[in-house]
Amino acid sequence: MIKEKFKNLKNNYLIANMNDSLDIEILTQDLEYCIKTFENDNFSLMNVATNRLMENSIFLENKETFLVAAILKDIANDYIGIFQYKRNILNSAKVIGKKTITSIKTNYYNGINIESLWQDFNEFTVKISEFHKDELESEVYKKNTEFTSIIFEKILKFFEENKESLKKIHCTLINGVLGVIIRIMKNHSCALKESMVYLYIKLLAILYNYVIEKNFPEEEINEDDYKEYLEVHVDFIVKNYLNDSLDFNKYNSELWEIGKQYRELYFLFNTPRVVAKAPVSEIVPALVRVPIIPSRKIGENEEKEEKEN
Amino acid sequence: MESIQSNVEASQDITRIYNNLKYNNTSDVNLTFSTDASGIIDLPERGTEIHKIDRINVHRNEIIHRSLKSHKKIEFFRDSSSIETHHASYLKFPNKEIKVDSLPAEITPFKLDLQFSKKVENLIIHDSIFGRFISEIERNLNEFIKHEHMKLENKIFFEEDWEIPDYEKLILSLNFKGIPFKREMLLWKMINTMVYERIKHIILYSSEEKVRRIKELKKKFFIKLEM
Repeated sequence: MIKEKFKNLKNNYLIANMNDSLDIEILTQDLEYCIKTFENDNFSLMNVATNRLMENSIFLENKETFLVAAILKDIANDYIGIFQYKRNILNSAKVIGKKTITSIKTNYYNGINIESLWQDFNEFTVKISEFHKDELESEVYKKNTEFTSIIFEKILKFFEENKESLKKIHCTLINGVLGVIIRIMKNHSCALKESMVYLYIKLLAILYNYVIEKNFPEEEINEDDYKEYLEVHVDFIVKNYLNDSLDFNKYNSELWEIGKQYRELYFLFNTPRVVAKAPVSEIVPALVRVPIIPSRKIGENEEKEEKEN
Repeated sequence: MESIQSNVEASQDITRIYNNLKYNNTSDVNLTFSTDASGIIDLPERGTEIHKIDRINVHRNEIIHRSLKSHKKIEFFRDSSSIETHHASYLKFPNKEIKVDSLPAEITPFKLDLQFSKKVENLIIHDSIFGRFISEIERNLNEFIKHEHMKLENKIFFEEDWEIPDYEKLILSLNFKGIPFKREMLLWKMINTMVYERIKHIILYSSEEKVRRIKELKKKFFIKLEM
């Protein structure tokens, strides 16, 4: 069955200029592994699996598969939260993920339609929010995407106006914006473009952690890094949202760029001393507010410990 | 020789040991309970001599289960339906003396594997009120198995009523394994009460629009015991 699908997929990818069947085989294995971890309720491992898919799609320069990985990573993060805090309703909540993953899988084996992927992601985001709400929230809050859109406009304008403060390594602007976005989406639901913005800012938050690491031991991110890694993406996200633009290919290239930068910086700066904080902030940057601890502080603590010993 | 039941998870606490003994013939033997590194308590067979497993020096501070005190003697006295627990967790039951070896016991609660039919899955996806209704049932079943330390198989599906074909029932089917019929009935009644109380609660605190839909679902909803 998988062989048949693989043959089908190979043909589809040949059309999409992906000519190395080995590449496809590797990505397919990553995807299948990811799906298995979901089926086994091992959502932390699913997060790891999506990182593999993400990384391999970067090495193999497959932007479409990168989007698949980014979406699956978000799904994994949602279920990590449900598994931890709402395990009592896991079976019902998994129905939503199961449906989305089946749809993503079908899309993948048919050559990846980016727009459908985003639609699936939006549908998942809207529906899973119902399971994140507590009992009272379920009773009180009603769908109001108009309100969501107003808040998104305001918060993104605020983000744009204050983007320079990202240069300071203690700045919590990205996590702050992400927190508002998640709250609004959860309580009032959202449309496709809000789901897209959410995923961008989530990846940008991860990238931001590594930009800080890159600039260690400075307390400020240097101008070049700020422009290359942060400003360009903030401008893109804000501009496209406010202009109501939904150019899926352009969006996809930008997301790929963020992912590529974040993964490259991860290779370079994910030193053992920051391992303890990185995975947590990667998993749920907004839900669990992880204070960004610069390496200098960690270094200072290590030195102190050494002296004490 | 009748075996009580092997490998009862330590996490399931003393209540389950009590239940195990309560539903089996009791005799005046001393039983020693011990755990292995995985925190599993072996319930010994009657009349067999149990060798204590050496304590392994692992994560002593991670002992979650307060009832598993080091070699505490737990006495069981006859005809006591209540379980007294204070600090050392003493259980009262027939002339039995149980020694519990102390080892870290990771709490591994029973996992509820609730199966849904395709139609139920589709409705969960497309109808948020239905989704809420089902997740509340799931929440209740989880609370129940956590409280009663029960393993049960269950599924939710729609079933046509053979007398009224237009009437489609939403069925929660329960299957308790290896439990006497009387007890099965008792558990079924408990689940019925819990779930319907919960539905009443949702009705009480929902908006008008939701109430109508939940009442409809309540009318269709039945809890069936698989024989």
